[in-house]
Amino acid sequence: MEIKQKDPRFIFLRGKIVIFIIVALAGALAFLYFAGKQRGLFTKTENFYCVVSKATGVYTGMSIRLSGFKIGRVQNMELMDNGFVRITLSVEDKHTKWFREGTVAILTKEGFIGESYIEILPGQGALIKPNQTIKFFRQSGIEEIAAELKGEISEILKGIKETINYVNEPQGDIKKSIHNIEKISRNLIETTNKLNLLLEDMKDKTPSILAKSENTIEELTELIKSLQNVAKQLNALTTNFNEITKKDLTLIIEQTKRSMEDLDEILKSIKGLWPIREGIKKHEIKPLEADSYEK
Amino acid sequence: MRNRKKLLFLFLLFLLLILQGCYRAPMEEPYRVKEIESLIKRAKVASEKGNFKMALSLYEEALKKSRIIQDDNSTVVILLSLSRIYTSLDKIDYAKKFLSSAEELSKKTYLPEGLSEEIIFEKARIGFLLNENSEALLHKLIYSESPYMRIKSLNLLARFKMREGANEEAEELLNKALSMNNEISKIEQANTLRLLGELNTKKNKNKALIYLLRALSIDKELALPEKIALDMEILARLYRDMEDKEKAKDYFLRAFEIWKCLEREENQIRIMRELEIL
Repeated sequence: MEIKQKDPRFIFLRGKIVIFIIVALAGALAFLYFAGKQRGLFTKTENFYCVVSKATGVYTGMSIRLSGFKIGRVQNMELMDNGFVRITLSVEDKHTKWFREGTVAILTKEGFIGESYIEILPGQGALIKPNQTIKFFRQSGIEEIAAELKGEISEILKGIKETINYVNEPQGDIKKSIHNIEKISRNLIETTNKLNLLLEDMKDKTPSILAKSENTIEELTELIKSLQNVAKQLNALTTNFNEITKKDLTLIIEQTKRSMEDLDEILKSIKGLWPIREGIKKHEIKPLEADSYEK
Repeated sequence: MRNRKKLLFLFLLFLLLILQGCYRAPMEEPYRVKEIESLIKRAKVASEKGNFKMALSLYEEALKKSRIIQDDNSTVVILLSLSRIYTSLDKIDYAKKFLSSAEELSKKTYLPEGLSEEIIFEKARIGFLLNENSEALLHKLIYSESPYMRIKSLNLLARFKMREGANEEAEELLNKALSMNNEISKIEQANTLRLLGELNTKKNKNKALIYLLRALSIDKELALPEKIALDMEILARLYRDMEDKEKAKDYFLRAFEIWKCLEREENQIRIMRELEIL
């Protein structure tokens, strides 16, 4: 005897269950389809390769971008027999047109602490067929820039230290030059004093010179002789002074010039750093001038 | 209280980290930007020397690169410059094509005020050359923040008025431009004087002569052969009207020589005809 279901909730229960299962399955399939599509599972891709000595910073799944748009991802990385690493770049089929001769891949970051990605810079030559190798570069991160700057700064500091040591060396050229200059100044003062004395003598002796012409001539001769000697001495001193200063000054100027060049390089590097470069006003490029009466 | 300060500090630190994380490096590659700038500079120099062929090829190369890195500002500058070169070469159709590309791009991107105004001015200028009614475009530019733009817009507007026969309005605009131009742009000062000279050729010949001689002396100072030839042509016509045939002939011949050096056949033929009548 068949039991008749009287409760309205259980009428067509089997049908309801079947419809529920079908809807659930369709939902699950749709979800899987859209998730797969989102992840690019149904997108046709082509592979390109990069061979690098070190794959630090690169990971499977890393995004590959062109002008900021994602065009693929790193599919695989394998260590080759020669110790190099082969990175497989899986690129969407429609974007393979950007891969031309001269194309390079650059490992870069969004900002200094942002996510790493591989930027593709398209080349100008003929199209590259899939499964070929392209060049790979690594953009300097903050660590590399800091290390570079450190090297440059320490070089400059070393240079400055050397210059200071060179200046301070007791038996060095500069100390000697200063000593010589002091000597020259002292000699010059002595010479001036001598000249003054001579002039004083002349003044005192003028009346007697007039009185005694013979003596006067003799004294004048002596005076001329001594003046000649003084002039010779002065000449020698001046030549000596010139030689010393010429040599040292050239050295000092050269070293200063080198230090200034190094400083200029450092400033340029610092100017290129974010966020400093954001604060530097960019040079504005302007179109060709056109006036109101050209034609 | 102390905990609240710590919490606030941590929150600010967190906010800073988020901001830092959200920062996107500019899409431009610095070396490419430098390359484009250098190409634009070289093109500008070539164009100033009259080597338009070289200037065009350099600008086109720069255009390709600026489009790759999506540097809209540089792209507009290049398109505008290309339009101006084609205008100089009398290829107005090409000039219009490049100008409309620049205009389209300017709608999609943020550009400095000066550059947007240059696009409008160029549109008005090409309109003038094609006898189109583009006068309305200049009404905004004559109130521009840049005095240089104001002056050249006033001059161009005066040319529109002169063509319409509204000489009084044109003179008013030109006098305004002249009083505004205090060592701002010598080229525009000479343009204003030349236009004032042209305006007065019928009504006050002596006044016209003074204006034109002043324009000629400025153009000589600036060493602009095209402008010098233009001044001389207008002066020759004025002397002809004043019945001083010798001076008229002299100026026509000098202008003819300049056009010959600049290889402007059209202008040479025009002067030859004037000389035949003389």
